[in-house]
Amino acid sequence: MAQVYKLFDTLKDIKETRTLLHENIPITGSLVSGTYSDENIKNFSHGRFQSVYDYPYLSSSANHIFDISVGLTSDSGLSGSGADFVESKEKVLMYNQMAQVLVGYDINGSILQFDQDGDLLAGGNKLKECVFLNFSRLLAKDEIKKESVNLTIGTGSYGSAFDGTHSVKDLNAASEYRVNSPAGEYGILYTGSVAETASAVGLVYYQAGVMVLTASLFNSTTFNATQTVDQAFSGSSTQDICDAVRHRLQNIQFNNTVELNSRIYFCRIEPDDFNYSSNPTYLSESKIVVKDEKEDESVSYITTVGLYSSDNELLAVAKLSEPLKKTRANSLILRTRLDF
Amino acid sequence: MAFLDNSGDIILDAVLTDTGRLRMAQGTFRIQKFALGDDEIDYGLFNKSQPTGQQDLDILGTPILEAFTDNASGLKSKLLTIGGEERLYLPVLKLHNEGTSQTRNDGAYYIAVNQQTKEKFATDKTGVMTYFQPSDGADFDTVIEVHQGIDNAEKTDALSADLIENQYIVEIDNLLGSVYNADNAQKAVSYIDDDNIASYFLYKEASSEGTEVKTLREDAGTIAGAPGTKLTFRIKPQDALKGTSDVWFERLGGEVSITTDTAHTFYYVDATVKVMGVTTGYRLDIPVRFLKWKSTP
Repeated sequence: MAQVYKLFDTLKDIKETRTLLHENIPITGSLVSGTYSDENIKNFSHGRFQSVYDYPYLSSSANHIFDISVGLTSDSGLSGSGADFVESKEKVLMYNQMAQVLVGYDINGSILQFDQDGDLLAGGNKLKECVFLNFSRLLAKDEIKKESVNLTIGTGSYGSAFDGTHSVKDLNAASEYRVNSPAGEYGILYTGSVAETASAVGLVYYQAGVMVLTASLFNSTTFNATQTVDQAFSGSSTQDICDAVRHRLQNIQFNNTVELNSRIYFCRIEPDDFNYSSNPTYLSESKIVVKDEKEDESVSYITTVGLYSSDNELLAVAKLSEPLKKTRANSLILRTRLDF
Repeated sequence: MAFLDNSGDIILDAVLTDTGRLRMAQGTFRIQKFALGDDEIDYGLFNKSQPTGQQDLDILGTPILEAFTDNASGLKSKLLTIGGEERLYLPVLKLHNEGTSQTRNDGAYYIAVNQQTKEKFATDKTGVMTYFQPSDGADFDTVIEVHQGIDNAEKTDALSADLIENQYIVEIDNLLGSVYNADNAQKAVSYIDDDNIASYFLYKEASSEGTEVKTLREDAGTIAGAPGTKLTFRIKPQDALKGTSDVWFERLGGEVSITTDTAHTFYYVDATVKVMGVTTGYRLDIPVRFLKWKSTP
């Protein structure tokens, strides 16, 4: 019986694989502050965070790449009420929101604070004044790759922010990371080249795509044009602090990760398979045009692989980049991969 | 649709079709078999007068298009597996363009969608199908008849059993028409895809001669060599075309002047009925024109 379909042996011909793909994401400081004269920076009337785009955000070509925000704990010396504390309530709310998502709650249901070394039970130093960098899914994809984070932060005076810099990395994070967060795995960000608590300046939540930096990282007598970092965190708006943080971001770099789940269909073509064609040009008056005699070798050319359901519906189609000759003298395995 | 880069290794560019994505959403995505196609290949480029190895250089240099995501056009001409000895002849499908299955002069079948339109063809019924049942007094007996067999007088011995088409798939835009048999019994739709293309599975029933697929007689005339089977069916218009609204004709077609007893202006929509043999994968496209009378100048 002539056949146009060949059944897959589901045990032998269909295999599933998982591949992790990584892309390098470099964000230069000039993009964050300068290149587009801040037309790629979107501020909101609520003032709770600031969005950074890769192009002026009014353009349809612009992609949202990350948000910057600021948070304070309610017991921070920089939060409080009165004229000296600007947007203090909003900063506390932001801290609590981020903390409840990324750190979670204690046994009494109270929101935990970000911990410098991730050891929540032992107490230790808490990050009470924080800058949050929330990366869009477009950049972080499924997760940030561990031990790939590299930030360069300017520590000079406001006018010459990059006269001095901190290099911030998630040192050794490929083998040393924490799993006691409700938002997945996270690592510790260090300045310098040694992974020690004294140089821990923040946290990076890999699956959430969030970096938490302590405000002291930016310590400078002129954090912005007129204030120290403490003065700014208590007495300036979130938007003004975000502007100053952007002013000090020289480089952000990390690798993202995409989990690619694939199903591979091995189309096994035996020597006697698919040697004839229903192509209208294959026949002339019902005679096969590539043969003179019946005994001549049948030949066909493969350009397309169709994957079908049991009721003959074409569910996926694959094209070869060039025709593949098929005769009784050869057998082929076409490996067709579908990614999900 | 761009061409694929063929400067390096052979690569496979695979995509889900629209039906594949639909089934993914429905949770019924399950691939169970594969077929191979050669849509871009023109076998007429095979030069038998050249030495072996140079006969198919033009074919092997054919640039290949990217994959279509339309399930109806992603893979049209399929490769065939035929067991046994080598073959020199293969059966084809041909339209039997004679008698009650003769087309109009322009090569298409006309389908009159309402009574007024039908009346305009009362004196010129060739190639015209209508929506009426015989009980309505209709005397339009046009059917579409497709013959299968080896169309070569050099090959008259019996067609081998493994090449005889006993099953056909007929596809038509479900908005426009549906398939009936020659006795005006409506056939059940097997499947309607995401593009509203209806597929009808018509097959030969061993116990009955009254079905759509019958053994083709040697003297049928269309097939020059060994006969296979014949498929007979009618197309009738869907309700969307029968009503007072002309919207589908205006959107998908236009106006045309046709002279029967006198010149008339009709709305029309052109479509293609696709017939495919399930066994050999051979396809035949049949043009049909849905007509609705507009005016008589």
